[in-house]
Amino acid sequence: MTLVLLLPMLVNSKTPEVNVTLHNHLFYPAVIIIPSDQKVKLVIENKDDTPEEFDSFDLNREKVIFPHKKATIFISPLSVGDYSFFGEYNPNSAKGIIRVVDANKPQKSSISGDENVN
Amino acid sequence: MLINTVILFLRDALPIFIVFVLLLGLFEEKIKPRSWLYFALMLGITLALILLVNINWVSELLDGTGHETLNALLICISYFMLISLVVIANNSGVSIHKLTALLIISGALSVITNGTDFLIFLTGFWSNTDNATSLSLGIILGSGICFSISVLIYFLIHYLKERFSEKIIQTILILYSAGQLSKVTILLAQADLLPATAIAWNSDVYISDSKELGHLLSSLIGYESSPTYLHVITYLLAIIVPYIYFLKQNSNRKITSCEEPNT
Repeated sequence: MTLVLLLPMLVNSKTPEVNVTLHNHLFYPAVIIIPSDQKVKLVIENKDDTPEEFDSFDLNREKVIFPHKKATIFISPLSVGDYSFFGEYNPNSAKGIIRVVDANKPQKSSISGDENVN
Repeated sequence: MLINTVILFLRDALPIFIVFVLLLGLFEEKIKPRSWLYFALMLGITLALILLVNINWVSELLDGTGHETLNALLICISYFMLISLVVIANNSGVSIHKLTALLIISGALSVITNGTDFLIFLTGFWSNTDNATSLSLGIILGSGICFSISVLIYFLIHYLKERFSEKIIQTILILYSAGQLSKVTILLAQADLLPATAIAWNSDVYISDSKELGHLLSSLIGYESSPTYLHVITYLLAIIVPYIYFLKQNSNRKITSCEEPNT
């Protein structure tokens, strides 16, 4: 599982940006760690030949990402917890989680294992 | 793919069916021929296809927020059109032509705002012949479900009109319009054009957005299991402001009728 740590970006006043790639109907990374109470900009690049709709009931966000294009979604400040998202057009494969952690607690970062929850 | 197509069709097409049924129920006695319905559908589908062809460059406008901004604008216009129709339903002195034009435009706007995303899905996957059968069957099943729900709502509207009054249907239409308008806050927050506010409540445990009842309530009255405060305020204002207008109109009518000399 690949973990993306964004806590150091807190010191930067600009909205922190997370890049996500959609390839073969899978999100990379599938688990995104962001700090609590911080607005985050999600940039999703669709490397597939078909459109995908980024959808999340937990986040109240949905946006179509066209083939070989990028789309930007702003995520409002969130409290600690897991927020799932999925590809509406391929819900069985394109899945992921945004894990919101306490910004004040130090977090370990590690990159290991599979890049996708599947 | 089949189940997914049905779900997507329900999500995007059900609000269109609902608004047409509500408008039909409210105005079928004022406008006998239902040709406005077919014109609205044709106009809506044509404009949705035009938008679909241009969607790539539209979505890249305004730093990648073009699609959300355009959708938000169209939803706002649709809201004002639908509220105008409720005002007209209370006012008998409006020409049939004006009423027909408003009905066609309102219907067409509903098709554009709700149907474009489904058209994107359809055109994106139709080219793959493996998907064509699933897509076709999904559309047929989805249409069948939408028609069934629409017929039930149509008969419910008639029952409510006869049992109570037309005001209930007008209220449902206002709730529907408010639900659509409040989604503008989600679109604009997603595009960072509106400030993010905290979640007001989370009723996902009771009625989940992802379940069938959640989809139906979302289409009918704009239900959201975890709305933000801005979403709730917009929803309430979208209901209260028209009612204040109606109360003011009614009191003006009463004053006018009291001032008329007795014969």
